[in-house]
Amino acid sequence: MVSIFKKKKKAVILVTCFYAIIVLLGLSMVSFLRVSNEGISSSRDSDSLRAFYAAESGISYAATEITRSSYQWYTHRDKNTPLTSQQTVTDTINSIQLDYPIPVTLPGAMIDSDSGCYTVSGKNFKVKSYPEIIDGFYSGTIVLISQGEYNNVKRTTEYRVGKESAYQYLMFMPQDYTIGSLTFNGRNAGGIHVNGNIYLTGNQYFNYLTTITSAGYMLRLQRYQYGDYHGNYNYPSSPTSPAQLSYHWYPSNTSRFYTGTTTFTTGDTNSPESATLNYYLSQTEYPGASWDYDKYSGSGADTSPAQYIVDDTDLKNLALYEMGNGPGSVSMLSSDSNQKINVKYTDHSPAEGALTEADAFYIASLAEKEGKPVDWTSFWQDWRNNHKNDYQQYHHDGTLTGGEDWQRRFFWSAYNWGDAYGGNGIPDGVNREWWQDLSYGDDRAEFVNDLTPAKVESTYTGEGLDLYYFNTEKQAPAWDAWLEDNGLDQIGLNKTLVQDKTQDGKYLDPTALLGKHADFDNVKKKALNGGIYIGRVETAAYAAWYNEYLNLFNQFIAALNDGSNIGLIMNLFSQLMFCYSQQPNEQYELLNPVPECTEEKYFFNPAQPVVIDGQYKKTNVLEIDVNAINARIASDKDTGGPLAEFNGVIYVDLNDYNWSQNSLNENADSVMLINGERLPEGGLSLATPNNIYLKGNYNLDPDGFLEKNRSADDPAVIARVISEKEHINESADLKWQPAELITKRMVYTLSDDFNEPSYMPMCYGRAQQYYDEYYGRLAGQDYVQGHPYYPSDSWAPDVAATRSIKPRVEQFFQDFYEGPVPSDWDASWISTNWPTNHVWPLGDINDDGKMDYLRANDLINDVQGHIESAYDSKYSFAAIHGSEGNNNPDTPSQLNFVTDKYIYNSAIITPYDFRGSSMEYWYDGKKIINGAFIQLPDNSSYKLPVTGSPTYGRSRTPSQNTYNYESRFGRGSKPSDRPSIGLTFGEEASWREIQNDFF
Amino acid sequence: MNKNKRKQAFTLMETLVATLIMATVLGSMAFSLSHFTRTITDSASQDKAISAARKKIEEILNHPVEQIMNTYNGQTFNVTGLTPDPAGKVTINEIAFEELYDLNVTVSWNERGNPATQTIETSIANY
Repeated sequence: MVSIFKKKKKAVILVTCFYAIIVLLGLSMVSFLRVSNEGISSSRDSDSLRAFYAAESGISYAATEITRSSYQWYTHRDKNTPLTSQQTVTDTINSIQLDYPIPVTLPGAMIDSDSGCYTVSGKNFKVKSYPEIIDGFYSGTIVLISQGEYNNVKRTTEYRVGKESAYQYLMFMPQDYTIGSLTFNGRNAGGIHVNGNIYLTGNQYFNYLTTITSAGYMLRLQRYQYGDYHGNYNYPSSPTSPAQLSYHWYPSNTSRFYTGTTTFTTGDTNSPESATLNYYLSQTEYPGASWDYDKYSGSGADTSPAQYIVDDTDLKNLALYEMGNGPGSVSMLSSDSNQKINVKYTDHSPAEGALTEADAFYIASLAEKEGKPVDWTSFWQDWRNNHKNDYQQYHHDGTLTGGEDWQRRFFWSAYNWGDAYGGNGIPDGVNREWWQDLSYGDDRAEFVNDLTPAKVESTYTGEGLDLYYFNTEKQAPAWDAWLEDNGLDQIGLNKTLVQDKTQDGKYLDPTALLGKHADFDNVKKKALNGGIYIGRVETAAYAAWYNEYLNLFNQFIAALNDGSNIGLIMNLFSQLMFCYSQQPNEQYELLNPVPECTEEKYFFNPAQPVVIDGQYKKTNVLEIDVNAINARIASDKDTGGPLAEFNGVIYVDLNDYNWSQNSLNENADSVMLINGERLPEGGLSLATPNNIYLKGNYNLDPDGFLEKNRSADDPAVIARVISEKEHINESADLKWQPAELITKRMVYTLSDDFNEPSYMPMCYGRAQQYYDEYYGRLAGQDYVQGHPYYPSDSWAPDVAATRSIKPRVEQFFQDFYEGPVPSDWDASWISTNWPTNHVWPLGDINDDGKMDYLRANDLINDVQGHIESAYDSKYSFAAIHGSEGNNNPDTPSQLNFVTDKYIYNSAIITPYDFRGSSMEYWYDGKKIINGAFIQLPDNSSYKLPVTGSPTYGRSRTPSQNTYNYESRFGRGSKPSDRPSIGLTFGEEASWREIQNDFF
Repeated sequence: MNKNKRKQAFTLMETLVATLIMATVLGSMAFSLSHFTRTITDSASQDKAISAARKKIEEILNHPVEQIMNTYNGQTFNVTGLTPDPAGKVTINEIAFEELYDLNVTVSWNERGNPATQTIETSIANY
């Protein structure tokens, strides 16, 4: 027994040890496997990452080939069909050119003979490129699919290449554009492009733009200063700062380019030539490197604005223009029988005989068109002789000091070429001071040659003309030196801001830029399929009935044409009549899938009021609560409702809504977004043909505080918004959602306190109220007492008795009319005898050794001032409109005063000025708008309400507006970062990673 | 009694065999443990290197192409946990003038005295 027990004991120990060993080995195996897997997993992760970046590399290579091939570069006809010589065709329907052999230009690049894919030696990717065809038509997008591979691990990315992205620009304007006192920050990613001239006025700050480009010129305009020069004011000598200059005389403006990378180009923006500004152009930073206004300091060094020699070609072009468009206030071609021209021919054909200038030019033009060689040299010499004394009476002391009278006639007659400053007889772009000096006598004004023509087509002859853009902004020595230092003063494409050289300047097509963004029908489809569509649609019953009716009608017509079966014709006719009688009552139904999120409102728009029959009318506004939309989306996600997969698009068409069939009213219909601090996940794109009001801060950081009415001064918000992009290190710093506002009308940005006035608000100044109420007046009617709608309201003071300029007026009459001021003079008399903008020399009435002048506007302004003052004294705010003060929408009141700062983060696309219009009085409030600002061409616009009266003082834009670039199309952005309309969702995404099987 | 005592104990052979087995098992386990430790350490370093390289690439891609060459080409950077400093280096080759660049981010470090390297390559186009 003992022996057996002992043996068993040893066996137990042995077995125990054995089990222990097994366990230890098992543990070892598990650890081994786990560690091995860890290693494999880690290795595969890095392989996957490498494969991903290899795929991205393939996209970059292929995209470069595409840009080198003018966006026509395809390896495949479609995803599965490699391009071969047999398949090379020009698709005439879609205008797609498939080139074979496929051009490959980069080092090591080739087309793989088996797969037809694009590859590059030493790179681990292969790429397919093919045109995107939707419903049989080329969508304008090239699809790139790139697959990277590393150690048998594959990653595939897809990139849809649009020819141009609308949001490549911080700002895009389709025509001439005046940039005023604004701040633009391109964050080194977005630039400004203007299809035309850029006019700089006021004080603008350009920060971190990539480029400022124009198809025309970049000009700084002088402010209107017509009547005051050499007047009663002493001109300060050698001013050192624009601030020393009276705004009446000189533009107190400057441009500051806070930038390290801004490049300025004019003309062909494709040209590689450009210049980079490498330092600040700021008086503070670089004294003397700013604009120099000291044109008349007496040094002689900086007294010459750019001026022109007017030659025969200029004369002919303007004459042609007048023939086609009619003359302005001064006709270049006289009809005076004492100023005739004898049209001659260089082939010695008989001359036409003496004709009036207008007739002579017409005859000469027709003759030339028929091939006869007109002696234009003789023609224009006759014309010059005819006009050599036209303006002698206006010369200083009767002495011609600069230019010739015929030159002045030329410029005056250019009036109708379109003057940006109210038509003062001065062509666009001409330096007014210089022009005044030239016309009224200043020995420092003269004609010198400094013009360059830009080609346009004559509306009269259809021939190409040289239309001159007048660039008189010759800058002062500091500016010139700066230009020279930067190579901006040289002749050649894209070399300078101010040198005229815009021939062949590139005009970008905004519609092509925008692509589907401008296609409202496309957007509407998106809204109807996964988004929110609010508006009128055809009912299903009506659509079904119409199809049936159309089918019967076609059958009936076919039977009629056949004519062989009378019975069938009668049968079809009766069916047709029956079907017609069954037409549904309702052709349309109103869709509003989110009624709980919307509210119909009616209030006055003080900035763009509707006036019908002399009365202001309320505008119709559909208010959309974005917070409520958010709640609805969340709810639908829980319940599987229709907005569970909201695609981010809202389309509202109030023109088909239940109001606004009135043509005047419909122009003022508006959509207002409220509570938009936090947008739905993925962003929000609102498209509408109506006005858009944006109330309160819009699209702030969704990860931030969510309380409504959070102050935009919150340092965290400000820091995120205005930080330069290059200083942003984490993507978390740019958290707001992609957003777009697309409209065919205006975009208004409102404060949170906008009071939705139920009465038309008063103007800020009571004197301004006079103008606003007295709509429809003409300039000359300033002197008429009483309001046409309130004939008994005789409020105007006795202007004649209080006229402070009486001595000057009397002096004027003594000098020129040899008589006292008529005691009964009135508006009509003034208009007849003292035309607007006319200037009269008064002699040296202030004994400063200089001639003094008086203009008609001096008198008009003075009298208007007295009228306003009298109005102010007679009508008080409280007496007329109650004493409720501001912000009371239930009584007529003044507009809301805005003193806060507001932030709106959204791209804005509108045919009107993207700066929009304020409906409040932004006293010292500030707007910061981050986005891209694209202006649609005029033909994309719907008209705004016809404002029947001026709206002076009813609203004011903020003194500080800042526009920052935030395209959401930047490198590294995700599909979800992109705005919804056009390029965001599903198959229309610009970039996405796709399954390897899809390659 | 002696006989009984001999029968109670393990024989020399049994002891030797058991010792051999235990030595083999424990030895292999010790070897495995060492190997596991090295593998895990290597994987962790590799992950750090790859992560740092990826982060650097994304940082570079978030800049305008025009700036990338001047700002980043030849730039070195530290990678936390890997020595020596700086472990990372950016190399940018211009493939086509101002159009296309090849971007390499390499992280090199010492792993128990032996050199180790991870590289991620991609390209940047100025389109």
